[in-house]
Amino acid sequence: METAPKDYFDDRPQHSRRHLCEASLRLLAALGSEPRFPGDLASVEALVARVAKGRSGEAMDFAVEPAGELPRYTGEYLTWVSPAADGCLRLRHEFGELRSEAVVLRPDGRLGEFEAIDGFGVPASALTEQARADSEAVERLTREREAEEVDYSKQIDDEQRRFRTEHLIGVSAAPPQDDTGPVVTFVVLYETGVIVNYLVPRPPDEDLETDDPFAEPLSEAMLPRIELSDGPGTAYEVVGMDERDANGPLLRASQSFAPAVPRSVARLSVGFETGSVEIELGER
Amino acid sequence: MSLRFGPAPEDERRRMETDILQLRVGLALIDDARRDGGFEIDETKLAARVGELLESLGAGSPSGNEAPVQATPLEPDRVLLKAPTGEHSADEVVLRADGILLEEYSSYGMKAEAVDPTELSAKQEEELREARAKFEARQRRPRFRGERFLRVLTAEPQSGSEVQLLAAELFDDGLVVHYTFDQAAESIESIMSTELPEGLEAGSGFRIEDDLGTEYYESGGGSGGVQVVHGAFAFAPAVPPAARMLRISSRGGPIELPL
Repeated sequence: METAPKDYFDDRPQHSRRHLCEASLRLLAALGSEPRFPGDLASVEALVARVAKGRSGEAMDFAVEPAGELPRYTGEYLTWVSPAADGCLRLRHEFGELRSEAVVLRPDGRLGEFEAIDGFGVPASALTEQARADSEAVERLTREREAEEVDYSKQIDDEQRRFRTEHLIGVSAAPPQDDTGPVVTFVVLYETGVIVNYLVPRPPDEDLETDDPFAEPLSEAMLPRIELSDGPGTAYEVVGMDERDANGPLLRASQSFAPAVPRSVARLSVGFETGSVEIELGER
Repeated sequence: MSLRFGPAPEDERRRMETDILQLRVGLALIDDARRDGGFEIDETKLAARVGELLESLGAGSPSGNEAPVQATPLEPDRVLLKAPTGEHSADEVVLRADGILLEEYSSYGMKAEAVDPTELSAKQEEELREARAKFEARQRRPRFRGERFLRVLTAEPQSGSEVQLLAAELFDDGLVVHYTFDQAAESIESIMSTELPEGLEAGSGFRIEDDLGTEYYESGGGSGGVQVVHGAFAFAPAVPPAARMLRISSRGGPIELPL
């Protein structure tokens, strides 16, 4: 059978290899001055617990598995770590399907050859009960994800279209406010939600300096917690945040909320930690 | 005809292999740091060490700017690893001694070539004079900083207008115009290529006027969004207190806001 040449690069295994390198950096650093990686599961678990944490929300989760057994699969993105011979560690990256990439990390930082593992690496007849259960669970998860993906695409599309101009009702100015904290300038009312535009005094430089390389103090200052309240007690939820301008002495940002402000509401209260402002919405 | 976006598969594969080589070098440097209490801070010694590592990893023995991975000491616990991807571009990572990659980015540079001004043709000299004059004129324009917010002018929805002006925030040194418009994915190219009506600022697509004839200059801003764009552009100088009307013109036409 002739097959057309692939004009795309299936980069998942390659990404997985890169992920294994990144995981290896952390595990090796966590080894400290020890000459060898531990050979028992409990000590490998202790090593994994010492691994430095990166940026919040990053996909770098570790799990420990015994050496010499069939690989485990969860359908998630996990780096499985197991003890290997000669004071080495074996790392295996499961990337959301019944495939994984593995590599052996030596205590001197050298990596062995990458190994692609299709499924469990053994014939179906040799699968254990655990492997069959893992396989079924991953297949079920894959089906659910495919179904969710369709819903998610629609959800993204709906969210992107929420504030189309055809839904625009009007704009209301906020009254003068104490300018030592966030100042709301105006709100934009839509049939589908509301956008609050505001200014925040730029924090002093010393407050923006931090030893944490993953901290984002400017973003935190620009996106304070906002609570909307109205007479009928509508439960507003944040559906979008936008950092508009971080260059000036006043930082400019907006936060979007849903659902829409009911037509019957005449005043909307916008509350920050430092205080709140009542905005007259006028006739709509 | 099929369209493919992004780099060719082979280029992508090569780039990812270089990426992995970069991290293999990083692993060996972490091992050194484990034993020595930190990364090598002498640039020459570090370069020599990376050269050794590349050779042991089978990546040849090129040195200096030719090396596929280059390292620069930043601090005892941080090292910059650079993998050139082109003549003036590279993938760079900052590696910390605890194994965390602090920053990962692609850098791009430009090569400047000095030209002797005496070699310029008459046409080039004229172009240079014009460019200088324009630059100097821009430098003399009032600039918006937005130190003190005064108040906001809001606009009614503009029926049938492609661009909806939402509000103008007035500051003591200028104003910021807020607007929105819908943008279907397939129309991005057509919007980008549409010529602006005469007199509108090239960046924002707005022109600001008042009843006193004040000349307003665009002074920064931007827009963003998928399917729906929201934008804000600043103009300077401040609206004079004596002005009674502000006219803001866009593709959708002019709108007048009483002051």
